[in-house]
Amino acid sequence: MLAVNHVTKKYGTFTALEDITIEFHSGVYGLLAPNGSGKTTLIKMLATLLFPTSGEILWEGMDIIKLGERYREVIGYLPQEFGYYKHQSPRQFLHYLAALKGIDRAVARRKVPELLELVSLGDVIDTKMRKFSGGMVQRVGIAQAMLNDPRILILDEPTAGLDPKERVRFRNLISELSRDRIVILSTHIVSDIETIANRVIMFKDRKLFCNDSPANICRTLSGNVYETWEIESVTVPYFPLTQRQENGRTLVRFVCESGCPESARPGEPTLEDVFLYVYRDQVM
Amino acid sequence: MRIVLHEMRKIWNLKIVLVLTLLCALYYSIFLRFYIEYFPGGHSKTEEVEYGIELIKRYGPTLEEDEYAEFVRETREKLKAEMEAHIRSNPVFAAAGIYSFEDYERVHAKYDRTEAEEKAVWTLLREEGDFVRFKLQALEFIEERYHDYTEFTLPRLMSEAANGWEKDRFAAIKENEEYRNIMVWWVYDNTLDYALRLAVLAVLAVLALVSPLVVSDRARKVHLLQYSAKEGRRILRKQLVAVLLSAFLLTTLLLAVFGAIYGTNGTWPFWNSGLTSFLNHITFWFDITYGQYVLLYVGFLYVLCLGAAALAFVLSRFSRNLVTLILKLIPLFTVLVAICHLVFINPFGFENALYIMTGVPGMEPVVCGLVFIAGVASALWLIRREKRRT
Amino acid sequence: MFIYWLELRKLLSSAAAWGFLAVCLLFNLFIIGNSGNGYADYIGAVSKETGVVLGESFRDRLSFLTTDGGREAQYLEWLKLETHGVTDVFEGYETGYIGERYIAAAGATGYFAQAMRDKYAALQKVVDGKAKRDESLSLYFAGATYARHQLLFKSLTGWLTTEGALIAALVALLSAGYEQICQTGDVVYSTRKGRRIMLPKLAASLTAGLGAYAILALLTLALYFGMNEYGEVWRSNVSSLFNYRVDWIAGARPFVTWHSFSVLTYLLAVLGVGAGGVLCFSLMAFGIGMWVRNSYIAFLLFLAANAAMVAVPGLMPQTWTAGMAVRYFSMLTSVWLWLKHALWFTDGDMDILWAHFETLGLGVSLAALTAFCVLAGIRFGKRDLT
Repeated sequence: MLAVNHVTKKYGTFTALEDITIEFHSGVYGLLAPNGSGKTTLIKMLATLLFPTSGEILWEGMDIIKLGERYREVIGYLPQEFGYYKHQSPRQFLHYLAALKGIDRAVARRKVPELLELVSLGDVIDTKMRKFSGGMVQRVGIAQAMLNDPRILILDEPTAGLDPKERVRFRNLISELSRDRIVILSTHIVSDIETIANRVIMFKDRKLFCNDSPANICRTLSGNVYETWEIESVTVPYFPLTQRQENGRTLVRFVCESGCPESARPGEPTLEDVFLYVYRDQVM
Repeated sequence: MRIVLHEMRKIWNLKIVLVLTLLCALYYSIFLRFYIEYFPGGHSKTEEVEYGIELIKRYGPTLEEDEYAEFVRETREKLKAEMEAHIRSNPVFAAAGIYSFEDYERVHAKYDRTEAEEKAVWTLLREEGDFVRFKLQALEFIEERYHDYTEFTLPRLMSEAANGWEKDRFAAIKENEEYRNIMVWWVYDNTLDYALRLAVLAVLAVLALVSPLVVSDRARKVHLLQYSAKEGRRILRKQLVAVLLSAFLLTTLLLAVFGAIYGTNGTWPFWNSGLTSFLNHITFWFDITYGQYVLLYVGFLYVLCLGAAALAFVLSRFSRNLVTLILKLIPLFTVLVAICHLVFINPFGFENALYIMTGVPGMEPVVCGLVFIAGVASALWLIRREKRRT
Repeated sequence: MFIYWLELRKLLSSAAAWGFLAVCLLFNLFIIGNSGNGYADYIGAVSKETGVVLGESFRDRLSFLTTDGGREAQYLEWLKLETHGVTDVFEGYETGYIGERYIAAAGATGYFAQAMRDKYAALQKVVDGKAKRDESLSLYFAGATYARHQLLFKSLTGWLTTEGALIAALVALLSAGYEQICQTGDVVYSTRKGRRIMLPKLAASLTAGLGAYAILALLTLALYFGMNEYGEVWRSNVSSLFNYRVDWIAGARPFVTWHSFSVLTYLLAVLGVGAGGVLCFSLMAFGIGMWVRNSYIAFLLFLAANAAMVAVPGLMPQTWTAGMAVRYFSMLTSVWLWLKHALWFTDGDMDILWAHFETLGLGVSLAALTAFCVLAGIRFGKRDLT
């Protein structure tokens, strides 16, 4: 179990995260929050790149800073801006990272092509990465995160640069992997986690806002989400969520807490609805 | 202009400016301070410079025969009186059997002095005697040089002239009596050494300040945003302008600060004195004054620094990161330091290395100009090239 | 070990570093090319027949030498003249005066004055030993000795150390800042090896720096000895009566080394200390590179740190004991060792208080800079990597 206990992160007088307490067990955890809300700060603390100002992060009861390499041995991390050596091929780069991850050379020689095949880069295993598209680079990033078969997989905005087909494949892959490991997926793309996350963690005002299953989170807006083609006729206070254009008409989805307006029909709340509604006050 | 100012703000990065300020202060301490603290540097240099200034104050930048005679006569009398006053008042002289100026001079000229004589002689060579014997030594030096120049020095130089140009120049010096200029060697030499080292500092500072601009933009992929904006690849032109303006500003700043410090040496009286002088050791191709030399130096330095900045701009474009940029800057800096030595040591003088190497006078502005042209031309080529480049 | 090799490969694949090495070699070639000395080459050639120990047998072999006239005849004449009637310069040579002049010029007092006197008392013993062994009766390059010695041991090896130090420093900064430059820090520092990768990076930097120095020295000296005839002069003693040193205070005096060095062993010793100096600058740059994220500013700070070590002693008032202490102890820093490279293995000058100052200084500098790197490493391990 990975436990974040009352972790606060401050930079001088600025507080990035305040008193965060979360426990991670097996499964997929989606960190869902707007940019600048502290997701990446928490991720980097889990990856030992930043240190908490107060509080502690424990892996199986022991402080991860004290554990040092024994902790880093069990994590796989894909950063938000994944850097790489342009002059190297994915094979070379993964071998380098395998060495840093303490993976035996013989094992690496077998695993590297397997992983690159898994992320559909088997054909370009020896091509210099300066020729890769953004999506291909991202897939190299995903492959390196899984090199050491980590017990904790930390992915920061992993689907950036992936096309819809790749995104679906990625979701399926994560689902499979999460069976007996902790997967922490930080994103603001709701569709990435809505179907695969066991729990969704949201931050607001630097603090933990909720840590629950997607269904329970959606239920918080149960009975308050509506859709209408005639938004002009809605006279009660409402908060617009999303819009869709069809045949010259606009279907508006909105939240209304004072009962169902006449021209509207109720809708099933989605995670995106909750996201937009919860963060409606924040200037993004 | 707004874009140029933005680019200049990037160039004048606070951290780099602070470290550069520290480097300049340390450079001053190691290489320049000596020429301020130890100017004119001992005796009788101090006295020669003082007499040089006095001569200029009394007679202007040139010394005619009658003025010279008057000065020597008056000064000699004054010094003799001063020395005799010391001799009368201080018992150390009587102890050595010195009762008059003539006695002193006789003992001074001896090789084997007794202890008492040694003590007496040194009394007038030290502060307690107002260094008066050094004053006399300086006066004698001026006398020797004034007459020797026309009787021995100029004829020897004319006979050793390497070519027709030199012969003609010596003939002109003789005809126009340019040797009457009052320009003490120690002043010229000190200014020269300080100027050379300041030039090296200016080149170093300019390279250090302006070089990172293009590399940093490319490293952060900002150039993609720049090229795809309305301004497009014209940004490079503006960046070049920013680089050149920054180089100009920095050179001005350095000249102002270190020039002001040099001003405390008090060499301003020599401003209108021609450098070709009976008191100087270098012959110059034209009747250049100390002030003109300073102005020419400033001009050359600007041209050199602007050229250096443009070359650094080009190198920055072809460097993948800041470390590889430095690896390219070091050889460039070395070459520019060599050029500084060639241009700024005895510029327009017969002893200038460029003249000695090429046999052609006046190569100093050519070399500076070439650096500038090479820099700006390669920068313009780069800007043109970038228009088509993916 | 594998990670060390991977880190080293990163540095070896830097085209700019190789290019810089090539430019340094060209520069050294320029120095060598401008330093031809026909007389010295002649002596190098004939030394194979005459040997290098001056004495009767040398004179006899010299007298049997013939030439084809022209310049060689002149060289032979000069050589005969210069080696005729030479005597051991160390016989009866007193070194005490040197120490007294240095003490007076520096205004040294107390411990420092005594240390200076002790140094020259020790040197006297060395000089007496050299006198017994007639060490100064060594040919070296006769009248061309000073020029040749200065060319090799002041100019060429000086430039080699400078170039080696610069490459080593820049390669160290490249290594320390590599992940920052490539933006791979997040991935690399969160692996099992994590921030401890700095250790193999440091090892790779030191290897690359030393390697660059070795390659440069090998190629430069190969060129130099290819173009300048040394013959048997290799076996000459560097304390030959023809070799000397000059400074403002003590004047001209024999070139006395603490140990007995032939030209060859002196060269090897100088290269060894040079390599030690390169290591020092590499350590310094790497430590600064760990401390400061921006490699460019790190390099400027590296220059400033070295400049400060040169400037500060001169700014301290010499009337204070602290001022004198700073001045004398700063001679043990890597930058002052580099500045005094022409005096390695000798008694040094008025700024040097101790015998074997180059070895002492190297030890002190390496220890201090290693400690600095360790501190920088600890700080790197504890700081946020945003």
